[in-house]
Parts: sequence; structure tokens; C-alpha cells
Amino acid sequence: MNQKSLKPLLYIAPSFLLAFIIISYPIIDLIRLSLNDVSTFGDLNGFIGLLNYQDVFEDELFFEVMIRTLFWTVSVVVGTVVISVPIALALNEDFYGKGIATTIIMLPWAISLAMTAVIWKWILNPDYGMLNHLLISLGLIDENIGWLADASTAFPMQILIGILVSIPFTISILMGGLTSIPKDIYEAAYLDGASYLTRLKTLTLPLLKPFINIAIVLNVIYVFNSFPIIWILTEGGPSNSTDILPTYLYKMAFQYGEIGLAAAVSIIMLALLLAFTVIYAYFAMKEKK
Amino acid sequence: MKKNLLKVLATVCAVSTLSYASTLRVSVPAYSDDTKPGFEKIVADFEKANPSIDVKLEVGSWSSWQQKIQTDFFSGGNADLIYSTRGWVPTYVGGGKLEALDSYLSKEDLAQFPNSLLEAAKVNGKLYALPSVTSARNLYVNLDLIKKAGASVPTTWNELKEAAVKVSKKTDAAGFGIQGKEVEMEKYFYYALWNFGGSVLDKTVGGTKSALNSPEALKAAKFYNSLIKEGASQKNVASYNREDLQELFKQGKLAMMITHGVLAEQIKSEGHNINFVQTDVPGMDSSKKGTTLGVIDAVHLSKNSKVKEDAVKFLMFSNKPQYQADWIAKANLLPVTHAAGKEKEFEAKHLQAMISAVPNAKFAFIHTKGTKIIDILRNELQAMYAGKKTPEQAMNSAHKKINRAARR
Repeated sequence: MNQKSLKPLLYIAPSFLLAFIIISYPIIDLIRLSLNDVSTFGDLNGFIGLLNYQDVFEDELFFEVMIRTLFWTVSVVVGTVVISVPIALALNEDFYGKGIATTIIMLPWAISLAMTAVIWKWILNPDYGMLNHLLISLGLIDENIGWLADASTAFPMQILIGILVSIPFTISILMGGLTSIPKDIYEAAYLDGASYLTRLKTLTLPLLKPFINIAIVLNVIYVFNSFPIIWILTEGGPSNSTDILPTYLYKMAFQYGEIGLAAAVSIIMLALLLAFTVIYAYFAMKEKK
Repeated sequence: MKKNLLKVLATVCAVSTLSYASTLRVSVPAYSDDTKPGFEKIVADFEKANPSIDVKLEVGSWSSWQQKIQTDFFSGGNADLIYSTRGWVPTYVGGGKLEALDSYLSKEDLAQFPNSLLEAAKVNGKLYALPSVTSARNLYVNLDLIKKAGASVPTTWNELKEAAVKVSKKTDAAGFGIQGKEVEMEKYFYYALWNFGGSVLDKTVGGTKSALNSPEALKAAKFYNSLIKEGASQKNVASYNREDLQELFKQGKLAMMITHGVLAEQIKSEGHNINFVQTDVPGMDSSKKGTTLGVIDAVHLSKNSKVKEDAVKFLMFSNKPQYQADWIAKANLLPVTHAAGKEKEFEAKHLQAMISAVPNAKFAFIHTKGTKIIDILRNELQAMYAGKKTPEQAMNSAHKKINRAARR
């Protein structure tokens, strides 16, 4: 390696080092905690190897929660992308009131996730909630439904809210992708007699694919780690039936005081996300080649 | 000139050392909007009386209080005096975070408190928590709904069920409210559990085994389950936390529920037109009052505090009757010292109803794995309330899981 090729590496070394320290310190600390017997207050009571991991894997609830987390992540991300693509395509066209439409769609992004969840908790209240009131007014139901009293209604509602709050971010990525597609290729295709659907299938979607991939990867990371919606609406209940890994982890660390077990769950979550990202990036790059 | 400057500097140093010889940190959760001003007054008066002690007061939210204390201890940045709840004491003691107060308090200091409160706050025979506020629960009854249904105010659990069934059948309201989630959900089960003769653990303090497989516990579970099955409670029980139930009561959609004094105060201050009575929790027969829940919150002295003597001085100062009357009565809770109980602020009707319930109050179990045990019980009860488990299945499952958790 000559001096010239070393120089750029030297230039980025300080920021790389800083980023490495900031990212690696909590991970190393988590690994340390997960391999020790840790008191509720963080005191290390001795190295216990993989015992914390063994305890986590022996907990039946952990697998139940992990499967639910995967279902939650896939449902929210797929739902978000499927809804966001046509909305982004529509917003990319010129029409009267486009500015207002874009603002309305992007507006939920400006509200904090916790606040959105609190508002939805009111909407879903069995006695005073707007949803029951609306459904009764429309004659669709006869009596109030306890939306959050049972996982069969609570979890789908949480997924729906997850999708709604993820749409603005996804649309902003897709809109960025759509504006980067040169207009002249559409003109050429139009002159060649390609219909809207043909242009969509052969030009727009293939060129939008890298942006959809980014949206999928980022959404998977955000949704997998998402806490406020589930916590505020049901706290993972009733009977742990809506718990996902972040709420399970929170209870373990801050309610039960099982810091070592919580650290092990964190590392497992990190490994799962890392594995997904690497595999997804591998297939995405392979396809590109 | 130089000499004068040195003199000035020396005086400034001396004055500053005198003024703030020690700093005392006090953490308090907010019981109401009046907690902070109440404590600010205590701090101002204390500093005036003790110019050498600088008190740093922090008032936080109850909802994240447990997490705050845990992370404060985790980082070593905890306060010297921590106001918290009795239920978490065994965990703090187990972690070696608290200093026992026994050697810091004189007999005269301790004589200010009712012995029952001090005994309930002890762990391993030592006083790691000095009671700060207390409360007891009452049965609230909507008299108009009861009258409309042709029932009467219940004094026994059988009468309660009878009245609840009548209200649910003859009016649009629900009979007896059952709390199905969040804070104190498990405690709502204790009313039936204790009165039917059961308990969660074999001992209230220092228990090691679950007692939920007892016939008494099963009877209590079957009783609440039958109320739900017979439509005598509100629908979708697992949807309702304490505040949701109170809201139903305030709207006249619920005939009976058990809760603290805040509800009576809210009905009055929010202008609800509810004709109600705040009475004793039912017993097994009408000749004897039922057992109700008593709650004690307490102050802890941190083991790592460098100003323990100052902290205890503040603790006793803050217990003066006028201060308790100021912030405790405004939070609709009860005082912890004999003298404070005589303050006129506690003569309010809703507080007197709570005071009359105190002799029949029982305190919940405390255990180092208390939060985990409570969570297990809540989950099993929720499964039963939702009809996913029978009372037998719920109690047996809770029994096994609690025994496993208590052993860990």
C-alpha cells in the first residue's frame, strides 16, 4: 500500500475511532453484564459464563415473545411499504392540493410516538373511545368492544398504529428516490407508446428498488426496537399476550431488576438485527451484481 | 491592601463554609401538584433552622419512580433521603443500598408513629423505612343505583354479589367494578383473597412460598370469576385500570368499587352529581368489618450517604404535624404520626372514612422478588378475567410460577 492510499484512511481515522468507541463501549459493557451475576443495582457478583443466556432460552415466554416480535416487525414493515409506495407515487404526480396532501401525510411524523400512542389509547377506550362511538353510530356494532382487553383485538390495532406512524418516514425515503429518477426516460417511454402500468413496472419500480430496500432495512431496525406503542397501549398485556422483545426487556431490567438477563436479551436482539441486516444486504448486493 | 484582600477572602471562605457545610439530597415522588410546594416550604424552613445544611430537593413522577431510584443506585448518584414505597424495601436492602434507621432514632422519635406502621415497615427486624404517608381503601357505593336496583349497601361479600347482580340486571350500570390492569391491579384481588382467608405468600414479611394453592385463594378467585361470568362486573375487565374504574363510577355507570380517598375528592372537585357513600370493605359476615388494604409509603436513608445525621434531622423535621397536614392531606392521603392525625386538615369526610378503615387494614406482602411475583399474579388474574383460564388453572399456575420466582 503506498503513501497516497494511506492518506485518506488517516484522515478518517479520528472520526472512525470516535464512532467505534461510542458504538462499541455500550456493546462491550452489555456483553460484560450478560456474562456476570448482576444485582438489581448493577453490582457485579461474579462471572457466570453463559448462564444468563441459558436462563433466557429456558424461559418459555422468551420464544413466545420473540416469535411475536418477528410477526410484529414483518407485519408493520410489509404493511408500511405496501401502503407507502402507491402514496409516494401519487404524491410524485402534479395535482391540485399536492402541498396540502403531502403535509397531511407527513404531519404524524411531527408528533412524538408516545403522544400518538396516548391519543390512540383514548380512541380505543371501551367506554369513551371514539372508535366504539363511531362503529355504534354507523350501526356496525351493538355494544362497546374492549379493544385492548384481548390480544386478538389489541395486537392487530397496535400493528395498524405501527403502520400509520411508519408511513411518513417511508414516504420521505421513497419520494427522495422518485425525484432522483430522470424525467427524460419517462418521456422516451411515453413516445414509444408505453402505458402507465408498463412505465411503472419497467422503469419506476426497478429504479425505486434501492430506496425500497433502504426503507425496509431502516424500518425493520426501528420497528423491531419500537417500545412506546405497545407499552403505552397495553404494557405487553393482558397476560404478556402483546409483549414484544423491547417490552419484555424493559420489564426484566426495570421491573424485575434482572440486569444480567436483560443484558443477555439485549445482546440476542442485537445479534438478530445484525444477522437480518447482513443477510438482507448480501442478497440485495448479489441481485445488483 | 494585600492584607485587607486576604482578610476579605478568608471571611468569604469562612462564611461559605459555615453556610453550606454539607449538602443533603432529598428525592420525593409527586403525589399531587401540592407535593412540590409542600416540600419546598419544609426545605426553606429547615434551612432557616439549620443554616449549615444545604438541601437539594428533587421531585419526580411516580410513574417512573422505581426506574429512577434503580438507575440512581446503579450510577451511585442516588439521593441521601429517598421517599418511596414500602414494597421495594426488601430489594433495596438485599442490594445493600439502605442504612437501618434504628440507631439514628430515639425512643421519643419512634413514639411519634403508630407501632403498627413501624412494624409493617420493618425488614429482617430492622427499620429501613420510616413511614411517610399511609392510606386505607373504602368501598364506594352509588346509592341511587343501589336504590334503583332494589338492593342495599353491602356489608358482606354475599350481599355485595347480590347487589351487583341486581344493579347489572335492573340498570344500565355495572354492579361491582374489578380492576383488570396496571398499578395495584393485583391488590384489587387481595380484598377478596384476604377476606376469604387466603394470602399470596406464606408470610407477609419474609415469606418464601406461595399460598395461592389454598382452598381460600381458590374461593376468592372463583368469587371474582363468578361476578364476571354472571355479568355483575363491568365488561372487558382487562381494559380497566384504577383510573378507568373511577371514571366509570364518576359517570354513574358503576355502582360499587373499592379505592382510596382521591375518588371522593374528585367527585366533589369535578362537580359530578353522584349520591354515594364511602364505607367499609365487606366482611364474611355482617357482624365483623372486612379486611381492607393498607398502604404505607416510606422514607429511606441511603447507605452511601455522607450526611446521615443531617438526613435524619431533616426526616424528623419534615414530620412536624403542620407539614404533614400541608402536603399529605392535599394528596388525599393519611398522616403517619399521632400528632399530625389531630390536624384539622384530616377532618375532611373522605379522609375520616379512610381513617375509620385503618384498624381493619392489612398490608401487602413484601419480598425481594416482589415485582416479579406481582407480575405473575397479575398475568394469571388477567387470563382468568378474560376467560382464558379457570380459577383453578390460574391459581395453580400462579402458585408454581411464584414458587419458582421466589427461589431464584
